[in-house]
Amino acid sequence: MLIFIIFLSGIILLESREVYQGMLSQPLITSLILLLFNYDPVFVLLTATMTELFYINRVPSGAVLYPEYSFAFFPIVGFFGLIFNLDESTYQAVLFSFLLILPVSILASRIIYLKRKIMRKIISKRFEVDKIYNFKHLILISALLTLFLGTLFSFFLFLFLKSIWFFWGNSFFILNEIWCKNIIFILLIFLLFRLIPEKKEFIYLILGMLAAGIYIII
Amino acid sequence: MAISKISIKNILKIIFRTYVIRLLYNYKNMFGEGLCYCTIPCHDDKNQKRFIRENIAFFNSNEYVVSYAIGAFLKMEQEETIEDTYKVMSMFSSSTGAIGDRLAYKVFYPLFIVMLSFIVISGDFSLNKVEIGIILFILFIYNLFNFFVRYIGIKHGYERGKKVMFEFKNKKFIIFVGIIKRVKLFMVGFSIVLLLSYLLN
Repeated sequence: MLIFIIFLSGIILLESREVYQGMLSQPLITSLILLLFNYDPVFVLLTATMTELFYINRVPSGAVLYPEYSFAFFPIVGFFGLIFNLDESTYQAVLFSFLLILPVSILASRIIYLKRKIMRKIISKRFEVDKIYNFKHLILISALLTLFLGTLFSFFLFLFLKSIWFFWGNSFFILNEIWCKNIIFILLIFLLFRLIPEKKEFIYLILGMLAAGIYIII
Repeated sequence: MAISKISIKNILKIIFRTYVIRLLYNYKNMFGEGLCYCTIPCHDDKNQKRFIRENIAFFNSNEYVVSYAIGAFLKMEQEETIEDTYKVMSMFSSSTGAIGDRLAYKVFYPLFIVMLSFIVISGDFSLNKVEIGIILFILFIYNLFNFFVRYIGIKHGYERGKKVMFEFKNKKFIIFVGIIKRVKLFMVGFSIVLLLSYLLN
């Protein structure tokens, strides 16, 4: 399972940033893989929803360092479930893993930045040697480089989480579960409120709320 | 003239190449190398080397909408002088980047994410088989749409040349985007109330 998560993390980085971009690497989709391996659905899906809604309006354009949240999500949640015993601390684990996804996403964006700089050098060097762009080779090198960096990064992430387990064990979770649950749900509501753009479209939000009210009553 | 006519086989080849276009993305030419790589299937072997050498330049775009630029680029290469093509490509460089990013990451992507979140929230963060089926269906629709946008982009780009960018100012298209925004807001409202009910319980 460990090797599977590490290797799949590399593929997720490849899909989310470089190849295909068909939403296959989005947290709410990759969480289905974790559910297949009997992970706690509340832990996995709550973290995935929080991550998705937190980053929903980010645009990965130009040379901007785009937080690689879909890459950060999968190994963190996967390793959390693998290393820690989450039976009585699901909501704390959601909160901790979400807080960990934020810096790891930024760090992963640096890796992509580094990879693109390396690729520029490779493209120039290959052109000097071949006198022509051999695109098939360049694409293969680029894909393998992303896969390698992603896999390596997720392996170090595993070592980091394992060391937390080594020093603290499950006493790492010291917060009150009910409080954590309330914080998570308030945060989710806040994240959804961020998606309301203009006052004139407010009516559709109200309609949605009314429909939900009727749904709950029924 | 480097290319004669764009066939369905070539369109499919270009679509496949647009899926990997970001692998060639770099901070010097952005999508410059990628654009050349995508248009190669439409050039015969003799012209390829010359074409690549002459056309690698700075080009920025969006991976979903780049197909419109590719189609238009092929059309212009067939009809106009290369100097003119460069001018228009520079215009495409800013417009496809801005329009593509705004449409992909501010309109369509958020809609699908909100749909997925909506299913997960309404399922009380535990999915049954039906809900998983709906999620997979949404994923399928997204990928179909992803393919369709690329296909239409190349086809219309090739048919209409530089005028293809006016498609995004089309009234029907603006109405379609408006509907998407409203559907998204409806689901946001629904999800907020559901979350509040979970919180109060």
